[in-house]
Amino acid sequence: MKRLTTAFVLALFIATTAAASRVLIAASETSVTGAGTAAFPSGTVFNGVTLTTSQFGKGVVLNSDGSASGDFYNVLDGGTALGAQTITVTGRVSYGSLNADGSATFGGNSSVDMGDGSRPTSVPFTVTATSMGITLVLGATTLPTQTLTSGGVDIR
Amino acid sequence: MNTNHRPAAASLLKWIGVGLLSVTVVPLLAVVFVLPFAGRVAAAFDYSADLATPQVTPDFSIAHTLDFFFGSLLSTSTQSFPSGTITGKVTGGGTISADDARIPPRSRSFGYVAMGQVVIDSATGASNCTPATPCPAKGHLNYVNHTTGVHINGEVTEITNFQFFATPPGPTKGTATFRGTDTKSGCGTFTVSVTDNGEPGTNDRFGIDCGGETTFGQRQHSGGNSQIHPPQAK
Repeated sequence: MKRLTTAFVLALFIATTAAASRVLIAASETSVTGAGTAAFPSGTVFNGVTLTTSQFGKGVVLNSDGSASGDFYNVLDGGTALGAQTITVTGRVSYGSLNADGSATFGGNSSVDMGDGSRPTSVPFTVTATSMGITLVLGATTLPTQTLTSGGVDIR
Repeated sequence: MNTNHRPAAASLLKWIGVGLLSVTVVPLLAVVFVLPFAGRVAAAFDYSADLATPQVTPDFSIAHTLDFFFGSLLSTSTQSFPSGTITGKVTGGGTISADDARIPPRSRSFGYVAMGQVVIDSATGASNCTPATPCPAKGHLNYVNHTTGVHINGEVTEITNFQFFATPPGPTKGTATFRGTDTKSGCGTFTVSVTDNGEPGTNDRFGIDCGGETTFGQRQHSGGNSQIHPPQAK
């Protein structure tokens, strides 16, 4: 009977350990990738720069616990009365999740280069991505959705 | 009669007690003491919900066993590279190129994720993944050639190279090559090769070959970043 009990306890221990391992590993990951160009609605202005088009590239892994990792790159093209100006956003992603409508929201900290000769600044950012476009929030400013004009965004 | 029944009843109660103790305390102990190593347990037995092909044979040698339980404690002081079975992960988003006149800056955009189980050699930082023996992987690639309009889009299925570079404590550096099948432009199998040369990503590199689409090897980013992720990162 003792052997039976020992075997039972051992089996239970192994089963619990294996189950815990499976649960840990089976935690789902979603990749969000994209590359292409997009357009701002007319009249979009950010920090005095009128934005017209953009270019983007991103590779992000969303974990089921709300953490995330990856990279977001967005070049915002526009201009001022002085001429063309390009704003560059280079973001390191640290959190994110899938939304009920199939879109993905992720964010972290970014380096924003205003393209006016000033030094790049560190700004928190958030992106909501769909297959149709991306909505970028820089600090407290939500920019209008950039609608894809070439390339694509995949959330899988 | 009573004296005959008491030992049987006592014995029954005793085993019920043992049973209750087993189903409550043992799982609790298992979770408390083993869960911190659950990832390693899973890797050692190749439990994976996503990667169907086993590629690791359990190694029960003393050295491996010590590394299994204490690797994370020993690695920072005695190893130059992450080692053992890990989830190799590389991500990136940006544009090329900054080093080749044939590919003007911002003329190509990319975004990718590639990850899979790899076994890292602690002496060299290289992995077991090769073109001849690729490691199963998952992930996705988007790439656009803005000059020609070619859009390459497909799932990542294999890692054929994954290597950490020797670095002092700080951001991880390394290189990786992965493959998959394009479903957008019809160019067939794509091969992407990237190098993470540290932060920021100005010295990182990205290259792709798929049918007639080529970047002539890895080209320096004109913007964005590529990251070889350290093993502890999810």
